[in-house]
Amino acid sequence: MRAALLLLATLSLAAQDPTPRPGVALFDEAFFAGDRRAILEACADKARSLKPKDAKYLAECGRAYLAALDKPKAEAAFREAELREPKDGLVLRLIAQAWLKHGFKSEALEGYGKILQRDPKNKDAVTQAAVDLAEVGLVTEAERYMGVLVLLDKDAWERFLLFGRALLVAGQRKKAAPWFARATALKPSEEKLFLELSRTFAEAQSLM
Amino acid sequence: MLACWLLALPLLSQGLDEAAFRGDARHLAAACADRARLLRPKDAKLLAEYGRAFLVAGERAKAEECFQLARIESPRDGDVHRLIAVAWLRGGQRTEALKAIADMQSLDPKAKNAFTRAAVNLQDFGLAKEADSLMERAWILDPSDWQNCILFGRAALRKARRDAAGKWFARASQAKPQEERMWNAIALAYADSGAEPN
Repeated sequence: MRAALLLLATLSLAAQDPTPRPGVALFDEAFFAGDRRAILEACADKARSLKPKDAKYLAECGRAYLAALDKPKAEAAFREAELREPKDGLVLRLIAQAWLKHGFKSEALEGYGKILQRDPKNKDAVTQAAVDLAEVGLVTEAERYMGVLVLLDKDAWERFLLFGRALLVAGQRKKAAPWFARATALKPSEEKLFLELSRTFAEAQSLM
Repeated sequence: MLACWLLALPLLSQGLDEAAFRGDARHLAAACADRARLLRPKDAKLLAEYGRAFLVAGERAKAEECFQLARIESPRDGDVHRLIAVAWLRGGQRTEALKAIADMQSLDPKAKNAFTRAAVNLQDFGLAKEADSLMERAWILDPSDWQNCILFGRAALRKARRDAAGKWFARASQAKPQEERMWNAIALAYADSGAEPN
């Protein structure tokens, strides 16, 4: 009887205890204003624990782990994403982009290469690969992907504009000019094109 | 009107070649906005954006004319007023910007997404106090909207306002704790130190 009462009292105390269990993050304001790596790891863990169905989210979890400097967990997430969608160029691009953003150049280039091997007609993935590479100054590699895109669609003025913009932002003004000229030659009466160009040059003014 | 079009024809037929795109950036911004206007846009948001390009190019009269046309075209669209505010913010005209933000709130008082985006813009341009108060208003309109909380939290991180970011990420996580996209979005916001996603 005494033991039962003691157990009941302990249980009731445990239920009132607001202290989080070890290893379990309490997601309040103080937590989110705290250590960056801990936040990254905890949020990525939480996202993975909800068992994302979409391989793109898994790839993004991997990027968060890379930012938290947890390479093994990142690689596991990337492997799972790739296993689920081995031929989806957009998933492959997210993985490559994650490596690129965190300074793993050879892993990134290998990842982008998989897009051309497995999903070579995916215009979105090919363009995004070119833009990612241009943004970090890997111009030769970026232009190789744009070459592939031109073979897929020689009239893709919106993509040419996007690529020109990435080159401009990366300080490659001379390299950007032919892509802008190509877009305007294709669509000389498209107001959205000229608006985007005016916006691009207005924003990039400080970089020139 | 016909005369205007006849005058515009030589400009429309001019090609923009590679050399043109290597010229002066301010001049290019204005030239492209001029060309876009010659195509006679009806969309108020586009008009507001042309105004922005003219402001950057130092052509205030043309900019104000565009803003006025945009307001006439869509007087009750909060996002149009926000775009006008952004143009003024970029041009360093704080008073005009805050006037456009006030117009947005009075003419489209339930536009929570426009309020959030405007709060992000204000924060990006260093008007933290005004940004916080506008974001609070957006949140009251829909406390379950975790995407807006994250958008603002991300912008706070960008400006190194860790406490403000913490508040909005906590609100996002309380709004939808079982949403994997939400946790991913918070993680990536920290991974990118709040930089604009691409």
